Amino acid sequence: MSETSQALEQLTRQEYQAGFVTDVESEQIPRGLSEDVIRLISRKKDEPEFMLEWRLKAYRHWLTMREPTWASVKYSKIDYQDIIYYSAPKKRQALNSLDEVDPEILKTYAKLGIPLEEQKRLQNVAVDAVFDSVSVATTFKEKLGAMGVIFCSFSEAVRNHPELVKKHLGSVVPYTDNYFAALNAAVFSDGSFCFVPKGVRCPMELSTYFRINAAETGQFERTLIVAEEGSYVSYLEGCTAPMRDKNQLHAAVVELVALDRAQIKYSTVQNWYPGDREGRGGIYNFVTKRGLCAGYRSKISWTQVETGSAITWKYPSCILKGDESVGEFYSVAVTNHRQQADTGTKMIHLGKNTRSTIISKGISAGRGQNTYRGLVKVQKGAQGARNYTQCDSLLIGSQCGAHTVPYIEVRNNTAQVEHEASTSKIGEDQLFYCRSRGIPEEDAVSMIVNGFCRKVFKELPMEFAVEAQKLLMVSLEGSVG
Amino acid sequence: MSGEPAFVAAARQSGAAAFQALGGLPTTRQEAWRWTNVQPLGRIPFDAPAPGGGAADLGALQLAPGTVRLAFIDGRWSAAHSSVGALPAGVRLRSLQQALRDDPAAVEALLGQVARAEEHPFTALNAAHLLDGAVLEIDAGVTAPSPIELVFAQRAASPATTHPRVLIRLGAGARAQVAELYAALSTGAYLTNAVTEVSLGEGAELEHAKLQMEGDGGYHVGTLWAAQSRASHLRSHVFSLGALLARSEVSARFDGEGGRCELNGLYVGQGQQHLDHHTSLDHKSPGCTSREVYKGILDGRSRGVFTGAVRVREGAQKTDASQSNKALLLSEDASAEATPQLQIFADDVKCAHGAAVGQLDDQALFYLRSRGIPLPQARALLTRAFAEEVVRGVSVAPWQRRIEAVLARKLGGEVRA
Amino acid sequence: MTATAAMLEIKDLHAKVGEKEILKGINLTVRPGEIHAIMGPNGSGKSTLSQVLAGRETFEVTSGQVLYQGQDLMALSPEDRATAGIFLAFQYPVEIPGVGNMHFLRTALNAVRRKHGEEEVDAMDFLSLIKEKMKLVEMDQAFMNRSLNEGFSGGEKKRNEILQMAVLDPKLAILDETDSGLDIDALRIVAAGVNGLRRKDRAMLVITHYQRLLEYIVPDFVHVIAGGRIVKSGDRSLALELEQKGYAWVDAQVAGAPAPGARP
Repeated sequence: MSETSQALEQLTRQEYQAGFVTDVESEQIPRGLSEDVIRLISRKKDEPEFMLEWRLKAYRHWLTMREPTWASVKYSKIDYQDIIYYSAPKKRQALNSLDEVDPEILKTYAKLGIPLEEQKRLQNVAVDAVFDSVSVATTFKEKLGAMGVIFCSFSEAVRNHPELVKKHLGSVVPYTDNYFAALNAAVFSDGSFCFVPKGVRCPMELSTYFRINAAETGQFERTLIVAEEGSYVSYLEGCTAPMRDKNQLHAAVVELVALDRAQIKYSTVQNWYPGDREGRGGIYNFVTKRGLCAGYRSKISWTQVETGSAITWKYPSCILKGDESVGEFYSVAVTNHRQQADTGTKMIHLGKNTRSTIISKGISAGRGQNTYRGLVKVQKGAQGARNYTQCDSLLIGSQCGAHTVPYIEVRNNTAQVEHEASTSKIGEDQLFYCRSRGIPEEDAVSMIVNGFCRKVFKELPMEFAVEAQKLLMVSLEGSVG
Repeated sequence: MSGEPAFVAAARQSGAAAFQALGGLPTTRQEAWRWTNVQPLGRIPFDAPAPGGGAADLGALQLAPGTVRLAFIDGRWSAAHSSVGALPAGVRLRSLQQALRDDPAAVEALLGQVARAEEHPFTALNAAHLLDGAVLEIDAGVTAPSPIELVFAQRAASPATTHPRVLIRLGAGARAQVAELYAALSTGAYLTNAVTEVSLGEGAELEHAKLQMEGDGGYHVGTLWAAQSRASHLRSHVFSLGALLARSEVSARFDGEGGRCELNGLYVGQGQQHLDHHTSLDHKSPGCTSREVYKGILDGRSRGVFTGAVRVREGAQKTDASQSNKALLLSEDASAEATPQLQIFADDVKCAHGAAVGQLDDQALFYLRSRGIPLPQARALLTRAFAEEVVRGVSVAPWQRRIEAVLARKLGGEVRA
Repeated sequence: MTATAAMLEIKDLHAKVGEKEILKGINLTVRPGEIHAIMGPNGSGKSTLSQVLAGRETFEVTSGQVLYQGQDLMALSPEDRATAGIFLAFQYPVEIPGVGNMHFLRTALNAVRRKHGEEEVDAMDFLSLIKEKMKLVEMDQAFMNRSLNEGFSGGEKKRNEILQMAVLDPKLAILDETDSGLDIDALRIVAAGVNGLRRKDRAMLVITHYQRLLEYIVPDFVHVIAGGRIVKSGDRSLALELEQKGYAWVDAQVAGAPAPGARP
């Protein structure tokens, strides 16, 4: 074994930290999917009529669709009737105060490093904690409310702000968009809703922590963020799940709408259970995320650190409709053991003088397969469009794979589109250099990998950059079999 | 066909069967054909043009005398336009028909060895319609006289298809420079469906150029399959300058260590041309180097497509692969698609690719104009300069001159001496 | 000579890479405060010697012994050798994108401090520490903010090596062809930096192909290495003789029995 392999073998022996299960009573509905299940879900959530109608339309459409297949991702067939579509912790209240939340759940989030109690909470971050399919707590609601910022669970938004939801829901990802979007539209459980009014710069980070706890459930959350003219919001999504033998499905939909001069920053630190070393269990992460830069000079940035899930299949995208709008995508995706990731972005240039930047860093280790699949499309009317893409892959060990499949489609001759990709491994020379300066192997690998990801980590909100770095090293554990 | 060896009929049969099995002509729903709609090709009969029609005049092609050359009119070898002369020992150049008569065993050893008809509908179609083509064999250690030209000229009197099959084998340490020139004598519609199979022995070196200068009404599908042994070197150039719709493919495979492969391409589209290029490099063995540079210049309403797949297999350590595709869009209605792909299964490798689509550099244009050069000329100059990198990569002077002449016609600007 | 304990004792060192033996019995003793120059033609093994001393695992030591401050050096990993006070200034310093120069150096310094039970340095203190040292090699702040050696010219890379040496404060510095690829100005700065770091308790091994560097960094001893052995030793006049007569002169001198490289 080479120097590098030995260093990594040592480095990567830790267990998935968030793999514990919380003992809490849950209310669940029988497994399986049908119109009755959907009506039941809608009833349990006390939804207005329009919402149920929308769900049913989506469900009927889903029935006519076929599950897509991608060459690079292999997984065993999902039995959609074998999933429980609703599970909520039993003590469901109006949740006006944290006192009403099951202490076990509070302990869970504390264990994950996201304390919800008043004294211990993260000061500059408002948290919406979603446990299984249900939002259990949202901090700082009043403070935000005073500025006109609405940050609450999606279910609550449907009940309290139906006009807003009606206006924007499905406007960026209609349920006809793809198979999983249709499924999500039919059975979505909860998620976060955020609305920032004109001219308001949201004073704190908003974040949602999704935690899948119950076994054999699917998580279908729906997030909608609307930033009105001249507003700014930075949002972070974190995800964890316990270790289990069977795969669980996570099919989420995120819609972002940015109006004139508005800016939305959406960061994800994803640490779903990746499955064990042999590839058993693990979350199937099939997500549709899309941002519409509707307004003039609007800007949407996606930053993601994906280290978990057995299979990741997501392409956060930006539709650059407004003139001079900007789309950005920064990503670090790690695949280790037998993980597979097919992820990337789509930047669709429609308006004039639009700009997009894509920085994708893939790290493959173990037998992981990491594919970047991106699309940069410049439509005919997109005068002066500019794109710069950089995809780099780092291979650790000789049994993993790194693949890059960018699609570039240009229909306007005033556009400039540039794409660069490179693949490398951690050089023996680089490792030796660090060691010859007294830096132990493990730290050297950590330093080099972090250096590799730096451009992306720089984009994360400060509070989470450190967590992301730690997560990165944890996820590279056991990277050489 | 009477007197024909049995294996030829067998090849035709399996070709036809493969074409059926693959579903006939590909559709745009298939990933590899996503951008190119080949349905118009279906309207052209796949049968060969009728023989006869009197002597053809290839004067317009300005073929230099004294060059070793096999010429084909409407897919059939024409002695009158060929000039082989006395070849040195160890070099055998014959038309396919000739080789089948004189040395069928040699043909059998080569036919279908590198090309994979079962994977590719047009290769299957070519096999199904085997008629003529060329067979070039160079024995170990022999350097062939240079250059060798294969000229495929179409009368295009009525819609028909030719399916030339070119077989090239270089023994260990052999060297050659071969060009395939495709041109038409009229603007009628026709289809050229050419397949070239190249097999390079250990340490052999081949420079191969395809000069696609088909007629304005022509359709061209040309596929080059190459298998490289240890330490061999392939330099392939593809110049896509003619045809209404053209698809050029180069598929190279490293069967042994230490090989080197350079794939260069230039496509210049005008009017309604649709020029599609597909390269596929299989780094099956360790220690091989590949370099790809494909450039496109698209004007009018033309479209240029480039898909470059590089695959580095498990165990192919010390692979060094780089790929670059640049497209220049000169008009509002021109468009370009690029999909450079990397599939990497080994870690001790150096792989990179780059793709860019854009327009002429404003600053450079301004600089030329500030020196008194009028805008149209300045644009032409910069556009020619963009193409130069690929043209200069061709080491055979007569080929370069031919390409330059066509570029001058299409792009304006000076013809460099 | 006073009986100062040797800092480095190399006894009959043999090393190979793959199947090829490169070092064929090196003998050398270096005491604190001394500067030893090692000169030799290409392929003589001089770079191999420096890499073996630093602990590069591509080279396998087949026999012989190296004692550093009385301890078996070969038993230590590269990082342990570094924290024990050995510094190798590389001939071709590597680039590590995304890893800032400042961050790298501070991490290395803290590794040394940790080893000695000293308190680690925080970013602010490190900044002041390093400002001083940067003057020694005429480097400005801007470099420190860049990624390790990324985009540095040859001269800048070498100066960065000497800067690191200044910060890490080693006992034994091995300069591997520090002068290769440098123009006169860069050479002057690098040499000045090295001279500024001379100390009674520090020893240096200056490996070079040309005599030129030794005009600036005057050695106490000069050893000529050829065919994997030290074939001739002397004082600095040996370097001048070598410059005039060339390496072929050495080969002629040495044809037959190798001269002992160790000092009496």
